[in-house]
Amino acid sequence: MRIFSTDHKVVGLQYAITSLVFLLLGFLLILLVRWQLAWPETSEMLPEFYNQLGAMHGTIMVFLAVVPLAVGGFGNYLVPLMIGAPDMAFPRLNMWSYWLYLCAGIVMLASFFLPGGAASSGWTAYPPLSVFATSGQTAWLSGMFVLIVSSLFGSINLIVTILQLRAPGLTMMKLPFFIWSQLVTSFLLLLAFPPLQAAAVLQLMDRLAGTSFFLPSGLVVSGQALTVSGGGSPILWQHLFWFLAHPEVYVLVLPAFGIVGEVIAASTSKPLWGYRARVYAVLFMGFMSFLVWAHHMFLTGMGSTMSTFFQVTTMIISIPSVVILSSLLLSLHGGSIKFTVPAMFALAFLPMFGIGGLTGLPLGLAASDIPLHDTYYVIGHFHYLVAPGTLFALFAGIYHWFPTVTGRTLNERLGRLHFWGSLVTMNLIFMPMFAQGLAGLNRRLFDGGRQYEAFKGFEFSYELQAWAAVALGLVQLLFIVNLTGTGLRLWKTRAPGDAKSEEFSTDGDPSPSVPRSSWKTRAPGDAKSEEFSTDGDPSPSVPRSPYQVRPDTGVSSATMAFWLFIASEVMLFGALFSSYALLRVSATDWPAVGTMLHNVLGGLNTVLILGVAVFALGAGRTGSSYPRALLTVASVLALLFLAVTGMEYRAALTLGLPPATSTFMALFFSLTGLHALHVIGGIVVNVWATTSDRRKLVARYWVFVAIIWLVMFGGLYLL
Amino acid sequence: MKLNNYVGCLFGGKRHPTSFSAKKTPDVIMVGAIVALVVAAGEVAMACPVCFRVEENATTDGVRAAVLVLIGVTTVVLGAFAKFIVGFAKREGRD
Repeated sequence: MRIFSTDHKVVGLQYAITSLVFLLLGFLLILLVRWQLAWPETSEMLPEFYNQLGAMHGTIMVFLAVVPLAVGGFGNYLVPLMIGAPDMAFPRLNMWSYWLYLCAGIVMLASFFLPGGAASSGWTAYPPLSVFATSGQTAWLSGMFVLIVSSLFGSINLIVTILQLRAPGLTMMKLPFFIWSQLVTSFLLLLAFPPLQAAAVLQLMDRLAGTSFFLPSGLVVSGQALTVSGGGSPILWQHLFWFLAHPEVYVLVLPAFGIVGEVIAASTSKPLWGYRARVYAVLFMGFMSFLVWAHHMFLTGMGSTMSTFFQVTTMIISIPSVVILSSLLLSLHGGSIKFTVPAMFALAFLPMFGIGGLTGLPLGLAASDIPLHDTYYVIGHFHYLVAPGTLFALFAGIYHWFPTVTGRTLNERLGRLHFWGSLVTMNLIFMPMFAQGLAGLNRRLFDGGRQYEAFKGFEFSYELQAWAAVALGLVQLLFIVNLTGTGLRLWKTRAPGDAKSEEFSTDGDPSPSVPRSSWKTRAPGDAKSEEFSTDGDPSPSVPRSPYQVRPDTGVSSATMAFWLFIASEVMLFGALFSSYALLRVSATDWPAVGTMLHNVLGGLNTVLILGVAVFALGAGRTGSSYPRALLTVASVLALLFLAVTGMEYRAALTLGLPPATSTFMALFFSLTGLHALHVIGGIVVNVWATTSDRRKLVARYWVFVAIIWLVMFGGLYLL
Repeated sequence: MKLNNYVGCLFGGKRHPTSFSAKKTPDVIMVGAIVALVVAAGEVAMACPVCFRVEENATTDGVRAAVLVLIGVTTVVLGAFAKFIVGFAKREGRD
């Protein structure tokens, strides 16, 4: 097996193994935290290190462990198999996605060895604290930036693969629910991550270039007034962060639904019930998840209008979750349930996720959220969703598909011990958190609140949680032993044929979760020989090259990937324009038009970038006579655009107006700098555009770059 | 049998001829009343307990503008996807 492989199975396994290692590391960090909370008086731990442990636990678990396992691992390995595709649509991009993810993880972990240690401002990285944190925070931001690029590659690949490389006849409403969950999850990753990327750039500017995007005026730290320009807003970070982080919750949960659905269908020996309702629910949830983020911010005093809006949307989004959960539950009705290890994990997922979901309702309403904010109640709620929730689903998936991957079945007895141990210990850890939170116990206290009279009396629950966490760790050792022992053939296992033949054969029905009625239009022989063959490409309706149009979608894979990329770019710049709106509207003073920037130079750049777009469009036209010459002219104009931008930068710096002087200049340098990077990228792809298909895409890209400039020109120069 | 009727209605199965039809009018009134309440009395009923509606300042205006821009951009992007999905579904149905 090659390490730098483009095979989707190898990449899937790489994702799975790496994310499981991160899962273990993240768990070990929080084990130290639980020990500190239980016995702070005997602990040598410094408060600064405690903060690092908390911040990195959250970051590793969410961004480096659970999501990569659920999407990168399960998605990469199973999606092409389930839809009858030979591989992912862009195998090389897939490989890059994994290696970038690994690099991001290493950068974040290595920050523990930096002077001052790792990031310590929580997994949410709230400013102003994060802006003044040690260099570990810079590593966190850089790692996050790379991780987002990796996620972008992965999500584009999954979407295009599902929509473009489905076997002929496998229409959307015949897709296994697992595929739907991966599809919607990929859309969430694609659109929700770019605003955090924008926020990471702005926070890096605050940390490295001295700007004040997130620093308000008059900030005093340790009794000393800061020498920063101010005028920024810490709330801006919260908006951009939660715009990602709330859909991220669904990124954690939706693949879990998909996996549990497959396992339940296999364990009950019948298709899942309510297929259409589940599909519509998952689509609705995907759309709505972008409209609820500010329910994490009721405490910021966003005003009653906004508060009302986000409370209503939050209540609405709970409906599709209930539909899916109910559908999974009702699927058990009438089935002959086999209580195998994966089935037990999948069945336990239902009530555990239910507890997590129901305890979330009070947090979606401002009146009850505000007293519970930042208490252990929130931790309990979230962990019920993700730990005995999503993680149980992932365990179910691992036990269920391990035979498909290795040809061997995991040891049943060790598996049962793993299940019961995890179920009991996780509940012992997380259930007391609701009581602690309802008593008002704050989640961030280094000594567990012992210094406060009101929080005394929790010693027993802390000790119980610590011992339960140790036991949970021991139980996971059984899982590791089971994985390695079975993988290395240290003991006898069930005949692989038993497990493989039924659950995951691509000959015929690829997934038991699809209603059998969906398949009755085809003769079984056809389905076997042609429809789901993974050997090559038997039908002209499946594109053979990235530029071949698939009849039912009406686009080629390359065009679809391009539009998905542009969608993520729109979200990136949309987040930056949103930042501009917040800083501009809330500013007490804003420079008058023409006082800081040269409107003539801005106007000249507008003409130049429009010229680039026009020449690129000419080159991309079908039947264009001199496409290479037109693209060369476009490149020259783009270079002139960069030169003019450079002149403006030089003029601003000469006049003593670097980014740190005001939020206006900070916005100017950040927005135009990011745009200039896109222009440089455009010049590079002009060289790559050697065929007419590529030139069409490049022309559209330049139109997008020109439109972005026009919006920026209006905001920075004219308004 | 009874369970199947109810569940069938909820999950797109075949609807029982008599179930729910008699409740249609009260359902409409109920939904209408809830919508009217949310629209008319939402601000009072769900006033932010932090500021109790005394919140108008430049910062909240700024936040409101930022949220509107973010929601606007998201709506445009999601709308484009929805358009693609509808067109795609039509094409798939035709084929």
